[in-house]
Amino acid sequence: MLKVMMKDLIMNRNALVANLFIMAAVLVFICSWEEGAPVGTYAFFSGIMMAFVPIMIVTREDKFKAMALGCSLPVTRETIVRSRYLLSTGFAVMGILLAFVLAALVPSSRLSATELFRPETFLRALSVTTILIALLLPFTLRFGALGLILVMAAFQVLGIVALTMVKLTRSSADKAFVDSIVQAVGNLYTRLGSVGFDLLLAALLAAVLLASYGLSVWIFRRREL
Amino acid sequence: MGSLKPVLEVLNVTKAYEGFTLRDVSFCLPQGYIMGLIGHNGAGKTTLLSSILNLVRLDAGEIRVFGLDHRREEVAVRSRIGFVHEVPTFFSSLSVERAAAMIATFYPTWDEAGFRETAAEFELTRGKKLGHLSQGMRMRFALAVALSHRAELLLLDEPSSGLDPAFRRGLLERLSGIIEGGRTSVLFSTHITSDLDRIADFVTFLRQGRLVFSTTREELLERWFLVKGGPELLGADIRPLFAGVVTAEYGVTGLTEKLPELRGQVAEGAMVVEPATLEDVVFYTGRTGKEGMRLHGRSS
Repeated sequence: MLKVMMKDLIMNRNALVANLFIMAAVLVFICSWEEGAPVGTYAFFSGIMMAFVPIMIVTREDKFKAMALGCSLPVTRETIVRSRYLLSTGFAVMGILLAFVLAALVPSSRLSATELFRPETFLRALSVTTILIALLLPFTLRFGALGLILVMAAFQVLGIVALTMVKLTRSSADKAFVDSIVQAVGNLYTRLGSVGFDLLLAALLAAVLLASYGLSVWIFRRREL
Repeated sequence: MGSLKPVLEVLNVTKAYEGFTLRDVSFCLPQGYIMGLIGHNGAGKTTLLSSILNLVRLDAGEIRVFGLDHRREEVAVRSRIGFVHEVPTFFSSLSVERAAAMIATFYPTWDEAGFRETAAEFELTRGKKLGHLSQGMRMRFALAVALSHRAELLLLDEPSSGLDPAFRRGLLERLSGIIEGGRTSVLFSTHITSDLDRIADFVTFLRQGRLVFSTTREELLERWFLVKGGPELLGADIRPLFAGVVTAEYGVTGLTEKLPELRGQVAEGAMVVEPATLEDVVFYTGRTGKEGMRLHGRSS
């Protein structure tokens, strides 16, 4: 397993370093930006950005058609998937911590270190990252870069269909629906901070990731190369 | 072949794609021998090699490598296989040395000194990035890697494609040398029948996803004959004795493995018989229909 993780890190070394610099620049901008500076927003954005790092490894492998090479080596496909999930989780945790350190140290930052380094802030960023990874990895492992585009396109189509339906029925359901989601997420986050709830959320995120992992193993074992 | 220890057993393998099916293919490669896999483009050679590496899922059949199931024991099987894909893909940002070091971690039997020696022999610059190598040099790199972990079975998909003739010849000699100890076996696909003439002990011929034959090269050359004659060779009783024919204005040429029957039906002076070469066998097999392939642009 470590060999597979090392292979992925070595093969993607340059791309990872380049991404790190780009992400750092964007995160510095966000934490220095007056309107975007609230800690919740910052955690949300850093979570989204970190989720795309492991996805990028899979899409790059697909781009270089190197999947056949990896699967011809003496490792099982399950090991390859497991290494991707472990790398993803590792990148997510390290990336979010780095993002917070960056926001705490950059002179132009409007975020305070005490606000950033609370468990609930970390959990907020981690929840966004985990859900995105759990959603995107099965698709990218099956379809490569196309999988990523498919998920994005599906969300776009869903949005367009919803808006069209609302327009046709002259209903205010769209606003009510979006408001209810925002309210639900808001309620969820207000509960963050209590140890019991934080643990429950962490367990829930682990369960989501495990379910996604199981699905990815099933998909990847059937993928023809 | 029966008394020889098999290193690879392909048993009734079937794999269907849209518009193509590899159907019920069976053959066996004994330990310490070289088998050439030939066939036209799209005959199923790459599908078959990919199946052995468990890169594609079989619809039916079984593959046993070193006596092990190629799916259930995939790690044990692949750790003893050296492979070269038709189009070797590696990340272009890695140097020859770095890429080899990365792959080496997967093989406990990796021979670093052997790799360095092979890389030098193959004129690979160790610090050069793979992205800066030509297709032929990438193939050399893939071959150097495949030859450097003391693999017991080499699966090479079109290894001579993109290689210059001198290097190709050297590679064939090297493969001949590798099997001399009797430990290593080679299965390689190719379009170049002269490569098979030079080194193959066994020849497996696929056509449109079906196995035409899998036999020793000697037996093949003893069994098949090229027969040249007039239009009487296309007679209703005689034509079925040919595996394929080519009809031209000057006469008919056919490939047969039923020479005694043919001699019983056609007068000796009415035909010329020559031993068939591997290229003849590949070219003529499947030239079906009454007149087979018609030369000079007239329809077959």
